[in-house]
Amino acid sequence: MATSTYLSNPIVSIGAVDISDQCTSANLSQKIMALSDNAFGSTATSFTAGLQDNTLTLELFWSTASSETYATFKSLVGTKIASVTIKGTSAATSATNPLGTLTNGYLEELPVVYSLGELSRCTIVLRGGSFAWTEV
Amino acid sequence: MNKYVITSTRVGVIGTAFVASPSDDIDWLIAGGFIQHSDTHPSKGAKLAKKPDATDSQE
Repeated sequence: MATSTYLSNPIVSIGAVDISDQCTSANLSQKIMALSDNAFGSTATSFTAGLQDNTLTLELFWSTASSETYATFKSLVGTKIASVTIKGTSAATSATNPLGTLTNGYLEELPVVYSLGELSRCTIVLRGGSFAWTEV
Repeated sequence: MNKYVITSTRVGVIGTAFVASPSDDIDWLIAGGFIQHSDTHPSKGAKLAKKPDATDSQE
């Protein structure tokens, strides 16, 4: 069975800004809502595609240094982020290394956790927007 | 056309020109310290609007 193991090199970019070295997890849920299209006479449940309902969750180290996490996201809260891209490795985009792009995902909050004796982190969630994979 | 230079490795090689794509938010990139306006100087052969020793007073 072929599996993909990502040890260090997935790429996560906010627009043109590569935030990969602050990111420890990217959890993408590509979802298209299921709308029931059952009618009288149906003998089984049936659905048709509705609106996209995508979610991208990024876990990041919280750094307030120049050009780091804080500088990247501070002005994006409450906005739709034009483009967030995610890719398994830094290699060229291909059918086996597809580039996912979330367009106009909404950033509702920027929650930061400061804890004694730990690296500070924040988890951001981008809701909505349209998502597509690119293979070339 | 505005020109920008990269100031953070998150965007590319520092000091090189930043080529914006249509989806790039230039104001956000500048505010975050990722790029900055490229310094522009008139070329050596550029004509000045008035001579360097010209005075504004009309005598």
